[in-house]
Amino acid sequence: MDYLDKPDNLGKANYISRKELLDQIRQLQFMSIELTLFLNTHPYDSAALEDHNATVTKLRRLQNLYNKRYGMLTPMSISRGDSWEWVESPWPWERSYEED
Amino acid sequence: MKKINNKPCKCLTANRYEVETTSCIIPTPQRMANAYVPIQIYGPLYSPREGLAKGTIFPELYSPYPY
Repeated sequence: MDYLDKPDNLGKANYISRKELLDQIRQLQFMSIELTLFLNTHPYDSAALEDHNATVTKLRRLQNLYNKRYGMLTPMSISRGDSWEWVESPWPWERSYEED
Repeated sequence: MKKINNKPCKCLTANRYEVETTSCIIPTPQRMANAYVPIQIYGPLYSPREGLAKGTIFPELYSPYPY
């Protein structure tokens, strides 16, 4: 999976839009679910294991980047500043925030 | 020839492992269903973007319903 092997996609990720960042997070979450299902029945498959670890590593980095840049992704994120940021974050139907 | 509903039924005398496509009742003794799934071999994957769009990251599992 060469797109995960690139030394640091995050350097490039610093310049991607909020929507693209969210899209990539969603894609990697799905990827990790799929690899989980495969690994549950193939626990010794080293290639799948490697891809799973690379996927989760990149996913966490993107989630942390989102958290730092835009705030809480879920209530289990870090809340920046002095107040509970979650109540200030957009509702799922407020899609326009993705265009920021 | 055995009869079901007064009609001759071939399946009652057929090999019990054979699947009959006639309207006969399934012959006895019956076997419980045996599910079989071939083991999946790890190979090339879709990209995360393509995988999410298609609903699977495994090309061998991509099977859209033919509308």
